[in-house]
Amino acid sequence: MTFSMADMRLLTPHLVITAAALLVLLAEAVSPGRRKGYLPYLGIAGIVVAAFTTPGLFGPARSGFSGMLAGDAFAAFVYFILYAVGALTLLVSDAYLRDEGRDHAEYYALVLLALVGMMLMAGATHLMSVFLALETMSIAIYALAGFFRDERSAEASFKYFILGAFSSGFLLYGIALLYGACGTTEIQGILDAFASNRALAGSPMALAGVGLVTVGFAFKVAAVPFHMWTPDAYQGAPTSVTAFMATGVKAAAFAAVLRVFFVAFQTLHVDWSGVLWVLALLTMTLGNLTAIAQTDVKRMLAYSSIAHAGYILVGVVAGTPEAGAGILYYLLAYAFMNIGAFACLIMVGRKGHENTELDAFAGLGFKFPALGLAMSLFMFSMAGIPPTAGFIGKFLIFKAAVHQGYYWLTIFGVLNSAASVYYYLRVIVTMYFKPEPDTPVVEGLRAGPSMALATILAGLGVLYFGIVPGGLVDLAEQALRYLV
Amino acid sequence: MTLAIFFVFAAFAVLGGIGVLLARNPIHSALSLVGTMVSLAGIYLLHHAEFIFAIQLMVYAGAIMTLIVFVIMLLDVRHEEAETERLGFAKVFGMVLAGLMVVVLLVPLAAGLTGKPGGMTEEVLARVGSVEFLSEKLFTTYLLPFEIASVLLLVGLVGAVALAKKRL
Repeated sequence: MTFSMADMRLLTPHLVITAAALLVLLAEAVSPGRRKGYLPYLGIAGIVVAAFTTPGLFGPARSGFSGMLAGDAFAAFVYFILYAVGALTLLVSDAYLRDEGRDHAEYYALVLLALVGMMLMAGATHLMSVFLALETMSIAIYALAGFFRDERSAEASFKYFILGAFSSGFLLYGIALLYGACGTTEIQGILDAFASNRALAGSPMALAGVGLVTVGFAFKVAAVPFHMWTPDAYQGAPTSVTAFMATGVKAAAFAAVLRVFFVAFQTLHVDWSGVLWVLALLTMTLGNLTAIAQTDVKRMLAYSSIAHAGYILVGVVAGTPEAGAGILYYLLAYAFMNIGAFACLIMVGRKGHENTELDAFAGLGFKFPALGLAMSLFMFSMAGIPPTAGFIGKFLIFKAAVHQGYYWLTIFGVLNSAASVYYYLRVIVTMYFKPEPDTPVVEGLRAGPSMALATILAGLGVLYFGIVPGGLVDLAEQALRYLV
Repeated sequence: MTLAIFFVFAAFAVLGGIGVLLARNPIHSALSLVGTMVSLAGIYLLHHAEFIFAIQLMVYAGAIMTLIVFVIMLLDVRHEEAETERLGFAKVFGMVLAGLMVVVLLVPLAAGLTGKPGGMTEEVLARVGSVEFLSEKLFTTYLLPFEIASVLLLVGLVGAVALAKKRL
């Protein structure tokens, strides 16, 4: 069958953002002189328009383009997370890139195109579209990571590129083996093949396929032991890109993981939950323990992002709609608190000097009260202290794990969360209780209206969804109802 | 007869692969790779995949190999340094991995493990022809992935310019 207008309806948000990306590229070419400060806002306008075309997707599951793309509440929910990530990233990037002298249309276009890739990953219902969407997102991110073209930025880009290409190989080989075993790469088709043929679950080809797909996704979400690229890539990339990588890539990859593992591999839960149990434990523990040893806040946040992937994996292990809803909530909460924290990091830096060592934060809490307040809020949320969104997210995921009887994993998760309080609070303690050195490291903040707006929006998100999470949790549960 | 031709192509493909690894001169490596690519194209033809055969010749044996040779000439690498003679950890590890790969490939053959047949059986191909079959699939069922691939290429293009161009 060919496609119809109903199919186009499902693709509208993606088309709008792709158009915005092309418009940004063209607009720079016709902008007179150096006046191109409006480019990021053109991108944000595209995201807002796309957001207005999305609510229609909430509701019963639909599928378009011969089963390639879903139009369901799950996809719509993830799209909204991604809109928040994309818009906040663009807001945060504006003043930062201008200060570093790299405010080029290519950056904004790549962010928007990566966003399209992420959205397609969340909506794809066929492993072929999942893979192509993942590559679209990844290649854009490789280029963004190297966008500053200094030594560390290039190293980040190169490491991420080599290991990312390597992991794509695993994913693709896994998909090929699944095709061999099931005769299809459609997610519903794989579920049907496993459900109708009990013997298939024991076939080495199918299991090898599931294993390789697991490895491929584990690379993308930076689960231990596939996390080696994360610290260097996150530390070397431009800070705004690090925020985008940590939140957007994670949201898109976990959305695809939910669709693949909760739907396609649903009947194999016994087989994969054990593997992911170990991965979740390792990811949480190693991420947190290494973060404690860091003296650079940006690198610490990289390890903390590994730890957060571990908490989310606990939800994947539980494998119920309740856990899935918790994961969706967590991804949104993490987007707000992480982009907010990285925005604070950008503000303390100046051109060529990132000032992300912990000592640079000494005394900043009283020198710049607003920055101190915002950073403290984001750190509290990451540590999972109420009344922030980070607390509710962890609570939802651990609750779902307990309901499935994963007591030990939950205990380890809570212990890890307690250990992480140490290094998050250390930032706050340094800001407020350590005197500023005689020759101040941070003399002024790199803050403009857009940066302030992004930080305030992220802060409001963290607080609002932490105090009244009810409506959002209901939406997430509704999203999962149509998925599973 | 088909089987004999298959073995001839397969032997050339393997010999080409070995040549890539053993050749001292990078240009010889590249030429051996051409041999492998052409032999693979022959095997595709044996399987009635005429379109893939043509694409394999044009894209891999033609365009991509030209690029590789260009890069080799631009970088002006003449000969490998002699230090690769040593049997380092990386080499041993690589050999172990290669051995494992052989096992992984041979076990399913020995055990007779096969996957499900796809839609492109020989009868279907004989009836509609491989170009028609492929193009119909590509522009109907696989239309969305096809379009995603075009966005992917655009991303690669923009990314390469952003990373490599001196003054943006």
